[in-house]
Amino acid sequence: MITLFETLAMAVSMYMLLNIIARLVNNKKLHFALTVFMLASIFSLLLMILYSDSFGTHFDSMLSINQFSSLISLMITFGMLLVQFIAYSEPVYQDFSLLSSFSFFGMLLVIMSTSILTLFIGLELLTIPTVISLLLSRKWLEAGIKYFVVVALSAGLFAFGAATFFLLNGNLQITAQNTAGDIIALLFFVVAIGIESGIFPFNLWIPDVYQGSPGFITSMLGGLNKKVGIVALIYIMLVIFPYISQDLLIFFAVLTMFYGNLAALMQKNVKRILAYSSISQVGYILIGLSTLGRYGLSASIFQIFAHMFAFIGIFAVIALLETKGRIETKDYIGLNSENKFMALTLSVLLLSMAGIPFTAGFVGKFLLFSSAVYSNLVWLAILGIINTVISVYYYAKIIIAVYTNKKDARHVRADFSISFAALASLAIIIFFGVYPAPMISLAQAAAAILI
Amino acid sequence: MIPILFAMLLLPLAGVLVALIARRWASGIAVVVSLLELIIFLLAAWQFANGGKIVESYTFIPAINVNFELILNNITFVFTLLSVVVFLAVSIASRFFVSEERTGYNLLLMLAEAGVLGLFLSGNLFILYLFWDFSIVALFFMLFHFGGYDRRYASLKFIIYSIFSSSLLLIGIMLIYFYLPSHSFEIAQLMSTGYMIPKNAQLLILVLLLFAFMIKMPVFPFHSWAPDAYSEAPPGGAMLLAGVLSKFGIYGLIILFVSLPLAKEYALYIAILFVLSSVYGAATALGQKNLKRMLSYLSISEIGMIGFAIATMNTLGMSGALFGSLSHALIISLLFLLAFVIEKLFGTSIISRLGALIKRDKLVSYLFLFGIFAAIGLPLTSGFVTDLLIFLGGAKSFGILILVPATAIIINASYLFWIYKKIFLAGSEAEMFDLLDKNAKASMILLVLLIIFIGVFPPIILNSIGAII
Repeated sequence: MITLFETLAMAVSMYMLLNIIARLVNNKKLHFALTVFMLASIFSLLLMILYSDSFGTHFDSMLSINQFSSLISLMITFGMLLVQFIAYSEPVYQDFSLLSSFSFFGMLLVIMSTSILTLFIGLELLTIPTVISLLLSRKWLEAGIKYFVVVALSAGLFAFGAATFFLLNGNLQITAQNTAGDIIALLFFVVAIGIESGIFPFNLWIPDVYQGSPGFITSMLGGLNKKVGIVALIYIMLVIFPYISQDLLIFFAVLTMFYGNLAALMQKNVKRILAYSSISQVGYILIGLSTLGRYGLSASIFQIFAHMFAFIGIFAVIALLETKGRIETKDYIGLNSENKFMALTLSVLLLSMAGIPFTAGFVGKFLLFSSAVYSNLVWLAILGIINTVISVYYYAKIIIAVYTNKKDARHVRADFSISFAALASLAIIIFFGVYPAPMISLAQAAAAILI
Repeated sequence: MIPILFAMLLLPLAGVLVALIARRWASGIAVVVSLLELIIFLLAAWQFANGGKIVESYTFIPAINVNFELILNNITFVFTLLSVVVFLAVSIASRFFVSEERTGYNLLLMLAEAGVLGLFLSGNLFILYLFWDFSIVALFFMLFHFGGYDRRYASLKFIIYSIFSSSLLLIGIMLIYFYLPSHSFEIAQLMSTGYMIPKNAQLLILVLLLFAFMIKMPVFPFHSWAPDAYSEAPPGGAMLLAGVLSKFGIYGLIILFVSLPLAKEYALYIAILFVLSSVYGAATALGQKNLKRMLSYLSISEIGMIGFAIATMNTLGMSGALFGSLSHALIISLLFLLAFVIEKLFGTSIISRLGALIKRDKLVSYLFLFGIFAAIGLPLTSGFVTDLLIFLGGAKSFGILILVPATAIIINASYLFWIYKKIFLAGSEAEMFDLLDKNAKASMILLVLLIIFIGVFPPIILNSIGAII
């Protein structure tokens, strides 16, 4: 009897294999159809696993599928699907799709890992194809090299951390450890994963790389890679070292929020603004983690979800405008007269990031800040609120630009694939903003399994 | 049993959908929606008058203990009434003012209506917060897309101040939830068991929420967004901002004072803050060169009086505050409406460039005079009842101190009559205008009739309010 998980493993392998074949056949439409089909199959398999409770550990206890990993994998799979839709109109789509399938495999490895070894392999598998996809065009070379350097540094530090960890504890399991001296291993891990997930001060590469990469790769970098980095952070900080990580998490949460928001205030380039804003969102997520409680963790999971789709949706619009040479805030003036749907999508998703009600972003922020209040960290919640107010300034400036009237506006046509990605993100953000109950209970079940 | 309150909430949203399909008739749909809202509200009010408060509850997010609860009681009754009426006036008047992009404007209007009604009808702090921010965002869009020359600056200032205020409110709500023994977001629970919150937590909640509401009302020294936003907004936007959105803070303040005993201990200091704001608003209005900015400061001054009435913490003062909210909403909407008509006539609202209006448009002049009389509280207008109740309540709680807010009324009266002389009477002969169409007239007549009606028969409102404390 073949289990659902084994089917899933086969589907993921098939996904990579079919990508290679489709690349060799060199038919873009076929390639896209196969990718969408395989990702949809993986999505439905994960959904079946989540709702039939077919959880368990596999492959000599190296991988585990549970409420947490299946929920995050679901989000990642759907996010990857949307990224494929954004990338479809690009000339390098086929190469990107092939490379992203390997990245996708790496993401699933990280999310399902029960051992630091799997985590490490997953992180490498995730980042290296991303670096290569940035080398596909000479225009992105600089961003690619920058990303490669920091990722290599992160890998080295992670390996060193893993070695220290093994020396101290005698195993590589992702379970609660409490050996004296663990703080050294923790610091190596924090720096390594801080680079991946964008914690201040290890995130200085983010604005440059996000700005230098094309929109579809940035949507993957910020929407998926970074979220997987946060999952790794959850495993390291909350599962392995819950006893020594609270102060560190609070410290990083405050710094990351303020750095992201204050730096975003001065920017003119929309991609740079969103890069900094995504840094500040990591800061909010860290608030939830720093409570070290189930409620806070579920809040962080919800915020990961809300930010992922808001980010991907916004980058669908950015990728569209970027091909027309419009990159700065002032280039966005009059978007409403040119394409009403794109203007609406951009504004609603920005409002979601700012945490305005009836969007998923609000629910995420409400859960995060309330988790801080309920853990007697009222001051942390107030700092978070101050950051929200700062962030409203730069989000509102983009929205005002978008809805400013422009004379002699000509309709900007959007491809079906990009419109679909924007529409899907918009629908998700509004649906789970108006009726968040199902996602909250899933996130709470996921949090309960970890801690 | 028909969910009458839920229907009130859904109606504008249904209007939005219909207007999206039938774009050409958007402004008509907005008027119909507002009219239907008024009718439904009257039905609900009839039910409320006969059978006591109406409560509707639906499961919403069980994971964090939130029910979607709507309630019509003696407090929400007044605020719902004023928003329904002002929205009706705005939607009719907008047919006169807005000629371009009517669809977008009316969509925003209906969204704002849903937001405002959701806020005032909600029986749950979480739901209240949702609609609070929602209506602010709707007004923000209206402000920067349809506003005047300086709209970008004004709208950015408005949204940042507002989000700051609502964020403080959010933390306050979380603290209330955390410290209430029953761990609930329900307003009724807060009002009945608010005294069980520990003292130091009460202080924190009081400070946070007081700041939040003072920004939103607005009250000196947090008022600086208001004159910009009021004078740069489109006509409907200014009426809504001054008439309805300022009531968010007053509504919150009433809940706060009824539920937290600590607020009573600090009532005197809080009252002084509001009186200061009232006198400051009146004194600043004296120096304004722009009619719309002058009206903004008039609004700030009157809002300060209402805040003072809440801080008296007795039945007379509270009734004065509730009645005053209704009265202020009607009067300030009327005055702003007239100010925008004047601006449309002359192309400017700088006072020194206006003149001899009575020779140009008789109706506008008489209505403006009526608005001034109502604003300074002439008998037979609702302003009179408001002032009477506020001063009686104030005298009961603070004694001789009420002479200070009385100066604000005197200052208000003096400059209002001065600008009346300046704008309407002074100046040479001029040609007649006939600018107003039937929509603008209908909207003004509606407001005027209501001001007179509740001024002559105040019991019709006061009986519904009853005793709050």
